[in-house]
Amino acid sequence: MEFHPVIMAAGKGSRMTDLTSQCPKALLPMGNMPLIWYPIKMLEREGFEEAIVIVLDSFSAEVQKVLLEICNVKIRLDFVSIPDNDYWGTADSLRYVKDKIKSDILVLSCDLLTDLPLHRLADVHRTYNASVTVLLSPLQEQFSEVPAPGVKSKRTERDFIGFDKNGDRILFMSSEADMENSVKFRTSVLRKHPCLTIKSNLTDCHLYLMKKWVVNFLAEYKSISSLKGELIPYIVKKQFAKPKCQEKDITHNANMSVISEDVKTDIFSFAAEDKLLVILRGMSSWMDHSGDMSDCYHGGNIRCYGFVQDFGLCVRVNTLGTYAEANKQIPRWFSLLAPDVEMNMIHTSATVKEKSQVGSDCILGEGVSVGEKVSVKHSIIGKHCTIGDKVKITNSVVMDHVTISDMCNIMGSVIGASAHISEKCELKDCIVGQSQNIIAMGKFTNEAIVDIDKMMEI
Amino acid sequence: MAPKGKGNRVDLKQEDVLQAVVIADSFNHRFSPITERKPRTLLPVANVPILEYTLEFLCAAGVQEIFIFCCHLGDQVRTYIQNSKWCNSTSPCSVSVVLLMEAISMGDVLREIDGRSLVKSDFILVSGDVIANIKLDQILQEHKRRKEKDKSFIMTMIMKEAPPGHRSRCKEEDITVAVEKETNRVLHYQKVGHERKLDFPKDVFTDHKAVMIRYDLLDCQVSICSPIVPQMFKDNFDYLTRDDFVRGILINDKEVMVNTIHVSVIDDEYAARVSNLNMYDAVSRDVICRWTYPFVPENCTDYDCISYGRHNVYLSKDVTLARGCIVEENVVIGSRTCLGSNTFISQSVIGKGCKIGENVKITGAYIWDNVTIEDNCEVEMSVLCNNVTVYANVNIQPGCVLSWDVSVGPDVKLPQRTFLISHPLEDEGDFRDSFSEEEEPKVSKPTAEYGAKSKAFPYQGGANSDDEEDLVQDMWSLAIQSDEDDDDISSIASDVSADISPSGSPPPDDVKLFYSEMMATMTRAMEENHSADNLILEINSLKLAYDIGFRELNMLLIKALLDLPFRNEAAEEHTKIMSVLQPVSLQMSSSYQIILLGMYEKWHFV
Repeated sequence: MEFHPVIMAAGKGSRMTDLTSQCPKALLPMGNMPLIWYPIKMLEREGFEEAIVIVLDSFSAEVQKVLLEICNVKIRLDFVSIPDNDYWGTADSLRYVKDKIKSDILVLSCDLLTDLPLHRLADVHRTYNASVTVLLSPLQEQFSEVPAPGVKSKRTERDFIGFDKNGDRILFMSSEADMENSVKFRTSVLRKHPCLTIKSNLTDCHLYLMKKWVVNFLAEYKSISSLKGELIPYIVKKQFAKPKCQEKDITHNANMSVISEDVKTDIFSFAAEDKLLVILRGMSSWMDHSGDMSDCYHGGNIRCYGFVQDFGLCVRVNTLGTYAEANKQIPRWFSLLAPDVEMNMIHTSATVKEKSQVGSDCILGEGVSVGEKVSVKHSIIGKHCTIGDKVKITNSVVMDHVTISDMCNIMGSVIGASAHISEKCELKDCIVGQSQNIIAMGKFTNEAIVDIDKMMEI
Repeated sequence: MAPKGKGNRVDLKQEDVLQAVVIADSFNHRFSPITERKPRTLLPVANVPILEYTLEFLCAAGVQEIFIFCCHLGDQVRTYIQNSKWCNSTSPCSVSVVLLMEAISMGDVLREIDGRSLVKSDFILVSGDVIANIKLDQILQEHKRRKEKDKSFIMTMIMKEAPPGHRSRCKEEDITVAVEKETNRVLHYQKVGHERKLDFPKDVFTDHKAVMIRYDLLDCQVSICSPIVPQMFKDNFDYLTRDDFVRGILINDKEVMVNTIHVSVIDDEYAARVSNLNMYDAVSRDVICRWTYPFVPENCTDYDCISYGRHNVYLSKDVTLARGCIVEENVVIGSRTCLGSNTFISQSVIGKGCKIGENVKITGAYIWDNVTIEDNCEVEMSVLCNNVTVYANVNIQPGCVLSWDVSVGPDVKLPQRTFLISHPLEDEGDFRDSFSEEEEPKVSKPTAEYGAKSKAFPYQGGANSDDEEDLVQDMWSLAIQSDEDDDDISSIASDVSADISPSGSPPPDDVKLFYSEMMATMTRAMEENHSADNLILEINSLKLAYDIGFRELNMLLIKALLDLPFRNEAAEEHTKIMSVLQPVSLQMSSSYQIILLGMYEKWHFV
């Protein structure tokens, strides 16, 4: 297998703590399926047969159970659990599974919803024999402007990504927070890549193709803990550095002295390319750039490329806003994301009483019972929910085992599993945490109703 | 363009006249000493004055009214234009020459334009040394369209795509531009010069979706300006050049008014400026190789008949080629020129009425009119102005300039980059007055150096050049090329270290000075038996004087302490040094102390 998939499902969902305080991000329901099911489905769709799934220790059993028993996943999954309390980043996790990796890898996050044919990304990776290839997607406006339910907090996390003339190679990467008042570019880099396009509207989708040497490098450099925040920018930067006297090392190999042993092997020694490949490239007339007479890739061994998916669907569900919005859209997307799975919008075991209206873009899970004169629009209702009479639910996500009593009006909200909402409540743009009880006649707007004690743990 | 208002027909007609302003002066000394006799725009490129190319280019773009502004030797330009086809009744456009003797910058010219209100609508602004075959009509249309949409839009700069290392790029004109990708709006404009790192303000990126940073553009100083531009020059009397203007607009932009400048990039047409000798060489080659078609030698003159042959050989009428002489490739030879037998010519331009002797070898040289080169000479990569005489057996090495009426030889060899003029330097400029009397005897002496029959005096261009001109003083590509390579390597080396070293450290020069000073202080202290306290005090004051950080101080002090014993060789000195230095080293932070004292002890035993 050319690429070995590694799914990062140990994320705690730090941008949506209101929802993830008890349920791991990977298992958050998305159209009544756990979030992680979608990336796994994508791998299945692309013909992968096995994958490593990295999960947190405490949720390991749960995730395994859900995936294998309920979701009926065919692909062979190798679950690796990492300790809960060590705050491991994605790079740490990857380092941990290093020994299981025998080939180049495909790293993806459990919260990615995309219908990308993966070969498009792999094409870029193979064309340039890249070290790392990153999937990027333009910020979709419908998502960036979604008013997130719950307490409002505006935080921009824009990245600035610089491409070469062909629009494939990533030459520059910086997040808005890291940038000072001015951005410096080296003349020597500009001389090699005289036409640099910096885009500020792209998000890193946390889907990477990586050479195996990158994992080896990670194993050596223990200070790197996150892929997106540290490793990728580091590799992007190192594309232009010159290896420190690499030639010298080779010639002096025979009589290597004591001193050279404690010199830490730098990234270039990991990135060394096959000699035959270098000869081959020298003989080929293929060129990655024009305008000067220098070698292909300017002789660099480290190359970072990107693929911008500016078509179809590509969403990362990592904030409340995207979670709520993606849930609303999922009935439409379902056929794209999992074409081979038949989706019953309204589960056969669900009961809907007379005079109730359920919109065609709603999903009702297994064993849902809906009372009389209920209206459900643009919403997802989880399994075994009980909905009383004359309830209105619009633009909302209701997780499993929720009880909503009569006459409630719920708009634009996310209701956590096993919550109980008493009569005549009105919720607008709210988040109700797991197992919360909302007393009768409660009126809330833009609030997060969650257990305070549980919040403190995060 | 459709009429916008309801104005009467006369107005309409006036608006349709396309005007161009040619700045026929560079306001610098790049071409001195050559330009002492002739303005730059009249220097010949492939035997045709540069101005001719510029005018042809504008005329082909449909310009109907051209103003040529000149100051230095402006009357020559005026006479030239008066006698040229541009003043015939058949001329497709009206050309008027405006003399502005008092102007010292392009800004002055534009202010003058505003004062006389010469321009009525959008006009083309070019400098008088542009050689181009850009098709302006499309760019003009785009300019007008954009102007209708966006009232704040005032200028289109035309730039040519030329990757770094392209021969029509010169270091002096190296620029980077930040351009908004979709609209081609210029967001940042910067000259590169010797900078290793280029700063771009953050808001350039944060305010726009996609921004291109382009280092592959050649600013050929052709721009389409709205009539508001001269007014803005008038309002801001500190604008000297167009670059000042562009910078001013881009910076002002954020504060008060939102004027925008856009760039139009051409990639399959030619444009370049003859801005210095290096470029003169590059552009001449391009013209000979016909990159500038249709503006090639045989098309640009109508009083001369040039035949174009294989291997880009252009021969005028009445050229005499003796038996056995080889005209290899890329050669232009003017009328009435005679070439002797066994003479070899390649990659060169030879003017009118020249006499080239036998067994002469000319490669990459620019020989202007009425030049005599006698037998067995060799000329390589040099410029020989009008009426130069090179006597027999002279070898002219690459990069020489022989100005007007110079004679050299016989039997000499001119070293690389020799600049010769035919009269002593003293009338150079008023600020050299104080030197001239002393220098005069000196200057007259070297005459013998350039041969018995010579009439030549060395010219030091560097004497009156400001720092910006340093870039160009090595005028020929040879020198610049090698510079470039060195620069590349060193900049990469520094890249690596730049990642590690703290950014706040003072420039290395200071450190070096500090170190040598400190060494001197320590040796003196040793010799004169100063007390350790005093020495410490002195080092501390030095630290303050040179603004050295603690880390550096420690590092340098250790270096000095280790270095010192080796400077005084005598063995018995060592104990003495120890006694002085030990207190000094005690002042340092403990970790360094331990290392250092350990080392001292070791030596002691040795």
